Amino acid sequence: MSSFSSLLSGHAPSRGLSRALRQKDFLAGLLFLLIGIVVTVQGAELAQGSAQRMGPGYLPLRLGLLLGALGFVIALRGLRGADDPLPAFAPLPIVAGTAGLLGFGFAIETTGLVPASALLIVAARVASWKGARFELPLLVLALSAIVGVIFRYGLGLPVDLWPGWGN
Amino acid sequence: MELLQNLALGMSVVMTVDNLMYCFFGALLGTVVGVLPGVGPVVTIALLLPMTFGLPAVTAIIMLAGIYYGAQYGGSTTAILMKLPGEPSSVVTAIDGHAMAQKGQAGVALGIAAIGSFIAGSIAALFMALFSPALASLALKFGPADNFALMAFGLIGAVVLARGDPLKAIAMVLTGLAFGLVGTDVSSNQARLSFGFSSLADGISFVVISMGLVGVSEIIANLERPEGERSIQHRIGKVWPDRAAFAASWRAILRGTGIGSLLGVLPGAGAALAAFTAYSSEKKLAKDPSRFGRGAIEGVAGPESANNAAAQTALVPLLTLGLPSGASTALLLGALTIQGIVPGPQIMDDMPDLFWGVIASMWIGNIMLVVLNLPLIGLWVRMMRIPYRLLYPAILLFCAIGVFSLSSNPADVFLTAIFGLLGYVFIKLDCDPAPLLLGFILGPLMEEDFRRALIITQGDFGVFVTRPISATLLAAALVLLITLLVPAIRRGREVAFQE
Repeated sequence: MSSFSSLLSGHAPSRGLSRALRQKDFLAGLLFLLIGIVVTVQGAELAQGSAQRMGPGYLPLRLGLLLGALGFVIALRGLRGADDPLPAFAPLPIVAGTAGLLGFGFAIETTGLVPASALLIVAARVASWKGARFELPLLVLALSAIVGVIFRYGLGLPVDLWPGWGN
Repeated sequence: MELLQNLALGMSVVMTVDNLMYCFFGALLGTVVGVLPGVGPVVTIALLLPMTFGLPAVTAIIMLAGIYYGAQYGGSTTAILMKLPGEPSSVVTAIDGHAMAQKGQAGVALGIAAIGSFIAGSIAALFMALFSPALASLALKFGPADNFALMAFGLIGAVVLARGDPLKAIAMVLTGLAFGLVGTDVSSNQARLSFGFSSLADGISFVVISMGLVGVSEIIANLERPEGERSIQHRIGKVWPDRAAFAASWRAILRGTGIGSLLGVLPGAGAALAAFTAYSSEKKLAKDPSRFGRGAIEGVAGPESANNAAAQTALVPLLTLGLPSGASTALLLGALTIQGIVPGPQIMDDMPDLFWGVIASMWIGNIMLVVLNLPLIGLWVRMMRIPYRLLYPAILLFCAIGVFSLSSNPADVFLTAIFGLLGYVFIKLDCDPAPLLLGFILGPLMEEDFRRALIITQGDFGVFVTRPISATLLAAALVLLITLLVPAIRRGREVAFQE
């Protein structure tokens, strides 16, 4: 409780706060608290009904409150516990992975499977540029051929391979 | 003799060209993807799920079962050859298995793992055939309140087995339940928690959640680790164990089978606990326990038999009660739901061909695994050397296209990206995603049973403690919860996990 009370009473608040903001459990608790609040607010807007005839908001409201309360406890405990700081995030893999999926999602319906796959692979490889010069084109070629055969022809996914070709 | 008739029915279902072929493909694909480094069994199953959606129900579940045990076996192979356990159930295999590999006995370790798994799988299938009808007839007496209590018990069980802090695991279960609420409420037809997005009106697909939380997030997390030298054993040695190896391990195989068959049935327990228990009991029974950790063959045979037996008997509560025991079986439940199959006690009467077909396919699948694995071990070793920079774009692409193929909706791909980021944050915060997946899958079922129970009693919550089955299950869940949260017992659990 020491760091939390020092945080409240104003003793070295900046150190306590910056330490708190790095604690895994404190941050995990905050995340659960946040999700709990969103669920509670959304649930409260819906009809509640009674235990016998539950409305759509009956369970979301109660679940959200429970999750929020648990998140609060976890966050509080994170302040009291031993120092367990959050490890650093790696920006490049995050950006590469997300950009790959977003690119695929935006391209798949307009350009078809092969360009969308190529976009995903190239974007994803931003996180790891090593390898021989011809590796990336070969990878794109091989993988789009494989997914084309499996999903377009094997599983009959209704999607173009190229813009306007394949259906 | 009903048993024999049932097994004969099961065999006749599996022994069609199509079903045998898909069983084989499932086992092969499961193993191939499962041996890839950085791809654990849960990711393997999630990646391969979309391939089964277009198949007829019975064929699909047979292929899924093949994928499921192929993935488990593939995970053991990477554990032995690279000391990279893909999931908790092969952690102990990695200890002595890799030690054997370093002594040039990789082949024997893999061989005994395959043979032990085969023996365990065959006995466990028989165990399933014997006990499922009893469990199903018991479950037929379950009312909605009992079903709710059973699932609550299962969720607490998942918390016990989750890595790390139990409080965070409970919060993950609740988060999963909340994600499960997203979508249109069945009784009022009103959208809940969909934030006005039309693509959320039908709820979040479990494929999106699992691909994002487990698949995409693991890719991101793997990429930030430096891809150092991996110690892959190149020399495999002979695969077929000699007489001395058999003599040293057959008891361990049978003990592991027994332990695994029993623990697999418990909700929340499953393969990891079975493997740990088998390993520590082999170590206790050994004349010279100091050999363990330095390549004791019983340390591979016992846990490998146990996790395979448990992986199979875990299908008993899944099929007869609709209760998954872990992330992998939760994915199978989701896939069954997509096929329009609601597992439960009535499944044996309503769809005997499906139920007994799955049991029979286990024998066939286990034979296929042995036939596949003993000659193909050299190929697996070569696949393990594929650098991660070539693998991860392929995994990401299969995630994207698999999710898109669900309903040809790009929004599902975007949602997968969001869950990928969330999953990465969870990894950073030491929150195991397995309880979330379980909560997500069980959430809608629990809500329905909860509502029905209270409609019947006109809003009286007493039903949960006055019905004996429900009261027993909830009491058991409460005891589990207390043991988890009382610090002294928790310390004991941490010690047990480290052993």
